[in-house]
Amino acid sequence: MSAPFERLAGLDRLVHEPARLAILTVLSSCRSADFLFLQRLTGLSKGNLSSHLGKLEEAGLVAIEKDFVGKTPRTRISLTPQGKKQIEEHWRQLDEIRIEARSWQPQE
Amino acid sequence: MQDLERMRAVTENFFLWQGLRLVPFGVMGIFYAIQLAEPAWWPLRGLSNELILVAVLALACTAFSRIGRYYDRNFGKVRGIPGRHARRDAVKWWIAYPAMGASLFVDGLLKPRIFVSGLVWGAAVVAYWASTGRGRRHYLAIAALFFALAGLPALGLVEAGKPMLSLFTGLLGGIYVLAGILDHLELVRIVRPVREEE
Repeated sequence: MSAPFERLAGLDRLVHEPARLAILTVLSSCRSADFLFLQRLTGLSKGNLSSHLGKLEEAGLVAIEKDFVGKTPRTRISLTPQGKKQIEEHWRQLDEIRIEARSWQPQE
Repeated sequence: MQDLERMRAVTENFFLWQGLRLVPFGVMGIFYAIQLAEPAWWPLRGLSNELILVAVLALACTAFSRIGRYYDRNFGKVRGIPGRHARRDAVKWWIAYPAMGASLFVDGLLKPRIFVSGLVWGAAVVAYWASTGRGRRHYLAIAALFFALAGLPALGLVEAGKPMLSLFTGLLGGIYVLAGILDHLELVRIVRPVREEE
């Protein structure tokens, strides 16, 4: 078995980046969320959040839907099936690494 | 990790964190408890209790909807996953609510020396707290208060039956107001103000 730290280095960086991990984790807890909700919960600026969402959309992990409520624009974001699968897999890996790291002993 | 867990809990239960929605119902409870007690100074004394209840309920529902719009505008919307809380909903509708209703009947009709509603409602509050992420600790204090109420008739501090139920209704109103405000403050603490571009 490889040392847990090697596995940590092998995690998908697109998902593991802290802001994107927060976005994907939030989205995995709901069907969809407004841009404003994500912005307030993650504490990211509008530009920063847009940039992260752009990367996630490009990778096919999130779907972004824009419409109007009256005259107010609204942006809804949801996980794609691939995004759902990837974040679940990522959390599973993180849990495994955490357990392995606790019991890990350096080899002499 | 803890931050992510908290984010997850807020997202899954976002509606329940919108505490100001509860406040009008709390005010309604206090108002109705005073109406039931009919103190000499109360200007609506003598009016039909049922009529008053319908009127304050209508006002509370209107306020509930307006406060909902405030949350949508300032915090955005979250659409939940259908069936995500199926177990919690089943327990709520098939066990908790019937038990809470039945306890009020027992206390009103049988007038036991132990205020059963205090025990049942306290347990329901603990279950609610446990099933919504265990984050809002004020619900534990509320549950403790309910449990403490159970002993009041036995200690001779409040007469069992209508006097105890009137006290409970008024307190419940106050608790709704307080819990609503604390839920809202917790939400505001977790979600951050919109950041301007750097």
